[in-house]
Amino acid sequence: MNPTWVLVRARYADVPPDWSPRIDVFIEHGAPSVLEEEGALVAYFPEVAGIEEATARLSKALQADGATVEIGRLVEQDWTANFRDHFKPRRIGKRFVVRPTWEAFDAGPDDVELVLDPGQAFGTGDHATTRMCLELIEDVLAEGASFLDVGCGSGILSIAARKLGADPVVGIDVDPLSVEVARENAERNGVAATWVAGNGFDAVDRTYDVVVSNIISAVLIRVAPDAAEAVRPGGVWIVSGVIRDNWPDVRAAAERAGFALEKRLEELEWVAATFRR
Amino acid sequence: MAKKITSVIKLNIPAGKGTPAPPVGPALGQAGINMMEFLKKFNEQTAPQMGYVMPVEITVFEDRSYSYKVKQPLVTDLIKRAAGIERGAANPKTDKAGVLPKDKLRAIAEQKMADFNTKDVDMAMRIVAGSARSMGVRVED
Repeated sequence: MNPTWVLVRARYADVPPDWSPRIDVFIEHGAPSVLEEEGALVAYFPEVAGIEEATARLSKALQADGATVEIGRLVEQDWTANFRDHFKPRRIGKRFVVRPTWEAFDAGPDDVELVLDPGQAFGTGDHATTRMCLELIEDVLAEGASFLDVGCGSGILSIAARKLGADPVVGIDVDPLSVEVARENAERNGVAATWVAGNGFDAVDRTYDVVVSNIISAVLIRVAPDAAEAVRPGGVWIVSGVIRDNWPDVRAAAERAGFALEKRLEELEWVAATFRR
Repeated sequence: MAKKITSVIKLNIPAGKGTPAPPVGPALGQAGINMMEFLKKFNEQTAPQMGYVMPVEITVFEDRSYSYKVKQPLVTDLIKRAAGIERGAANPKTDKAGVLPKDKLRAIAEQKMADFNTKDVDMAMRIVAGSARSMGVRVED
């Protein structure tokens, strides 16, 4: 069956001199691209479990901004073939191969395949922050290490860790839709992990060998002390999602919490790093 | 002689990362233009600005040929970068997301002036300041 997309259209009575704050509301809610119509903005979201809650949150934010919201559906049509042609299996780090569900890949004995559906909003492994995280995880993860992913998104990092032999693997995200997507992705990859919808480190009640947070700088700075409590002495905290300008503050927060910088990667304007406790 | 314009499509697409997923696919497909060719060019051209969302205006002609113009990044993205924040405030009326110094406000206004269709830098600055306010970013001297 063809995938279905949920359409969200916001109509406005007035024409602002700059549409970007209104477009930004869509982008902040996970829309990759936004179409401008006469007096309206339109975006689409893949229909996965939890989409009603996600679109309800977006609608509320749009209405607070004075928009009239319409929700519709679009069944993927002939542009699908082209869309899918766009995604080919690709290598990340030394061993990872991210492949879309519909593409076959002849994996070598050392290759670790991550099967994802790039139709989904997040986690095609395409973004620099995700790619760097995968490389850092590959660097430090030992067989049997315990692994915690705070801000798990599509679950790609947790799934990767499990495939490298981490056990147990726990993924937490504040967005219930992400948790649902992560669960589906884990099943697709034939791996078991625990998925939790929750705020930051609130639900964490033990220590881990490896903790990963691919979030944003402000949150990383705030949760650094919680991360220190969740990492066992000698374990690591891998952070990503940091714009280069914010890196000094993130590093300072981690060091204040008792971490020492071990490795730092940089791509475009993004920074990712491994801290050891 | 100028070709007849059949439609103008306005999209906001992440730099270097355009895909045929909707709304891009249906909008361009409907207009009958070569979507993959457009996306390839768009992605190549905007790769240096990766991380920003780029407004792009595609003009489609009667014979299904097209031209397009990539504009400067979204004002909100430029403000976020200049203020060193990843997000605007959830409740801009009560929360403060960050501070935008006046000189950076001016730089953004100058960068976006052509897109705003004005030659008046003060007017452009007022527009940018309005957008900053709507995301809970305070402008300071």
